[in-house]
Amino acid sequence: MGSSVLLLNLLFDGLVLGCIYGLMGIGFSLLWWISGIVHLAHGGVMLAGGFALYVAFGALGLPFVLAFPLACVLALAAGLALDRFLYKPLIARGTDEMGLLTASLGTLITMQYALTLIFGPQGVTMDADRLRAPLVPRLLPVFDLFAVLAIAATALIFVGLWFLMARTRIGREMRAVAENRDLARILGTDIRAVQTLVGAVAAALVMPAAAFLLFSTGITPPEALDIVLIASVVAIIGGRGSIHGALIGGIVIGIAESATTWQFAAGWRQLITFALLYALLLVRPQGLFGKAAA
Amino acid sequence: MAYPIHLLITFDIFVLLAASLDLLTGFTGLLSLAHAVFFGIGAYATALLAKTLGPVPAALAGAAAAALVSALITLPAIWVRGIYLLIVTIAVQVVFTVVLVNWTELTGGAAGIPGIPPLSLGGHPLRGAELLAVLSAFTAASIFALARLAKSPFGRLLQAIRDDETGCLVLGKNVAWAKVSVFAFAGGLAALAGSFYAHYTSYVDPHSFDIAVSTLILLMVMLGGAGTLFGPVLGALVLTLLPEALKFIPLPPGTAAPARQLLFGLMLVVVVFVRPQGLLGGRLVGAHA
Repeated sequence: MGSSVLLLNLLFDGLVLGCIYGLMGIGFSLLWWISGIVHLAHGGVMLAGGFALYVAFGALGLPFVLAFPLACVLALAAGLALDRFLYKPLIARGTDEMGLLTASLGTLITMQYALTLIFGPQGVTMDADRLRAPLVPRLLPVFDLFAVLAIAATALIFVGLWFLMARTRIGREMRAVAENRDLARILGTDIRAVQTLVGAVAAALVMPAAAFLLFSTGITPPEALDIVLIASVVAIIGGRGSIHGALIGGIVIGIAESATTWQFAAGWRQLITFALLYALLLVRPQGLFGKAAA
Repeated sequence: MAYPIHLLITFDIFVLLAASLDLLTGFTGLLSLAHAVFFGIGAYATALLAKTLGPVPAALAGAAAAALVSALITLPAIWVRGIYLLIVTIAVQVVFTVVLVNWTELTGGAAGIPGIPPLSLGGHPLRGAELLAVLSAFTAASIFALARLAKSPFGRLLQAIRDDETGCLVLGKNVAWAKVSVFAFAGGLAALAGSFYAHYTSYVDPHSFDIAVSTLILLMVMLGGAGTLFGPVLGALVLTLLPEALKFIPLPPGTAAPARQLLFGLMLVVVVFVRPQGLLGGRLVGAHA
């Protein structure tokens, strides 16, 4: 296979990976943007959702259409429990940013190692066999059902979110809370209800990404922090309040990481993520599509 | 006597790490999860250079390299803090481990570098109690210097930046320079702790300088009391002894390490809920900024 064909394949792989990264980051971005909560434990919820899907679908053998919603319910419960018992009480007692970050980091570590104790550090992965067969023989880049599903699910979710935010009453309330919390409160918006709803949406949104991870690189507890790192770089590259920014941020990282493996060993992938983050924070800390902080 | 000496050397090294992180996190309000990086830079500098250059030049080279890396980390963080800085430091920590594991020609990869000579003064190698004495003297001097620094005009500027950064800018203080220099200083001190560590264990590997170590150092600061200097010393003591005590609890093989990390994670959450100012903290740091 020629080198340029390989690069073409890597770029396409990067696009698929980037879609998954976008899905990993969007829930985190929404919580950060609308509720002002830096949800480091997002990575823990994603791992828990992935393991739940593995247990329901892989171990118990339930049909996927039943297992996936079940795992969604569990992720939702985890996200809402964190909102109710971690962030809400801390915010109510005026804990500062450093305290919130510390508590969220501690929760992430707790979840990561609780899951390590249950499932082992190597985690679980499922074979995507049929999904990975090329759809069109001899066509390059290699085009399989997994890629189609990842791109389609991402497109569906991001269009749905855009519609929710731009066209519905609750979306307008979310944007109002994000822009000016005090004004939104005066105008009669139930801030807590909006924040809880955002927490629920963010928790449910871990599942598509967790499912794609389970069927590709696997759900591995040691990667909890890498998940959060990618989610936060997606949020920062995309910029505050930009849904399409988060998707483009994810795709930029995905393609950059994938292209890195063209010339370098796969272990160096994370270096490019960091280089992107560093460069962006130096020249444009508000992100590609964000508005400058007021 | 070997066991108490081992515990005390470990404690001294953690004191240096926790106290230097307190300068960043407690005094200046800059949350960092990259402290094991500077610790590791010092240790690897000693591992690579001590045989050819001698221990002191190797340690100084490590401290200079760590100070430089530390200052570079701060560059994008000069005008942003809190979460942005935390994410940058997490990224630096992840990248550092990637570099240690993958740059095999320099670092020996996952296997690390064995055969580091013991610290020697005037041709006399220091082991056991002698090393402990030198390290304890250095640690005590460092704590004394940090306590003086905290009370100096520069130390007051750092605390003012923590409490009201905009106010400092309005008063014409050079906030950017203060942040870069405090990061460089804390990084350099952590690197010196790493040099002692490398001489003591005679062996370095990526695992000793990963995110779990950074988290543990942060927990020492938070548990003891950020911004109190002596709180992190107490935190280092508690968290040096706690894993030793845990060894007496019978656990199935392979579960001891994750169970310990689980406990550290829980402690981070519990401290924020129960005693956000830490064990020795008198007031809530930055709560009403």
